[in-house]
Amino acid sequence: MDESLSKSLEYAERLSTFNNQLKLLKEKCLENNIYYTQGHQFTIDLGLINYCLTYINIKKTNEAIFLDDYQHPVKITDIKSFHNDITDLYQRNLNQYLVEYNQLVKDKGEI
Amino acid sequence: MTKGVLLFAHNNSTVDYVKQANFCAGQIKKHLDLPVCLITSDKFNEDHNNFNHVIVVEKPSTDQTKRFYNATHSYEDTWNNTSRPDAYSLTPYDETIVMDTDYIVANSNLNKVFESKEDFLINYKAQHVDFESRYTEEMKYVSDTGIEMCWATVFYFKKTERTRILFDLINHIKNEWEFYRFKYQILATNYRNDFAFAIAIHMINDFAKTSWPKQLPSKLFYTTDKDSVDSYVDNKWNFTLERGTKCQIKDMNIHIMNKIGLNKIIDQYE
Repeated sequence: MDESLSKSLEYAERLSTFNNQLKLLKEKCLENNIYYTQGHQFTIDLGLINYCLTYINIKKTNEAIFLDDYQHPVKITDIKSFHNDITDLYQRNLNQYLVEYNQLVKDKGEI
Repeated sequence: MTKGVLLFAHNNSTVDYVKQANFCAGQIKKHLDLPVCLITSDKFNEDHNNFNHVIVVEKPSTDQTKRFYNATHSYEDTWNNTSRPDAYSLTPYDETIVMDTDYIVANSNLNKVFESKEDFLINYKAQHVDFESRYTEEMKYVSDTGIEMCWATVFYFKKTERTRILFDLINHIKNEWEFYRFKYQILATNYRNDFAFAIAIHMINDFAKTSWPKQLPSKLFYTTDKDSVDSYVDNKWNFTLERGTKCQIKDMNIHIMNKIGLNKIIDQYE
């Protein structure tokens, strides 16, 4: 095989591995963002965080109805505490994502 | 309420499932900190000390065989998968996670099931780690015109009237497999728990798709028996996938279908 073609294919294979590892990392972060309260499942995302913030901003923090991952209604009675819990978990997971992402970029193609 | 994990292991001449279960139980203790109960018809030695309970049952009689691959090599052997419908009657726990011995736990996400109000959780989707595998697309339904697939690789249940009926149905489907295989247009002749669970869920929902049961809080990632298992170090699994791509899994639960390759790694690890 032509040497330049061989090098190109080798590079493509390394890139494919790298992209696959990125997808796995993203999936891991998403899965770690699953949170349970009152037996209901919530996947933490910016929508959920901002929904909490809306209530906090209008100083209505004692009670609101949320929809869980399956669109079932849940009454959250302490929105500040709920908001603290989910943002804390979200940030911890994003931090782990960042650390592993940087490591992956550093090790690019060495797996 | 007692909580724990149930594992089934019936050895054949190709795969030492009990050894695999012992490794699996070690990972469960490390990451989930749960007691583990082994259901087996085989002898186990003192080195297999990761189990809290061992229930010895009679070897289920089966003439089922399947081909066990280790990437490029394969072996035809008996496939004894008929005990799983007895999980409800055999479990010593009120709340139980059941998993294959080749499902390797690497984080604590499965502990979230005990915070759920649901009485049964299972995966409807399985994802190959290369995200491009044709298997993932093909395995959404039990057949071309059939019902939605579910994966009995790992599931959670608590003892309720509904789950008792579900397991009764699964046992019934197992016993009448030829009929249900025909009824649900399943081409494979072997009894398979994934299909039996999917059919039982369909039946208990009055032959319709409903929101019960919900999904586990952990996606089912897998590698097939055509993928090589290269190494396991510091909670990191290295694979060479069928199409030649290298892949590393860290801190993620994974179903490693290459049982022969997995056992070779376990031998090195022990």
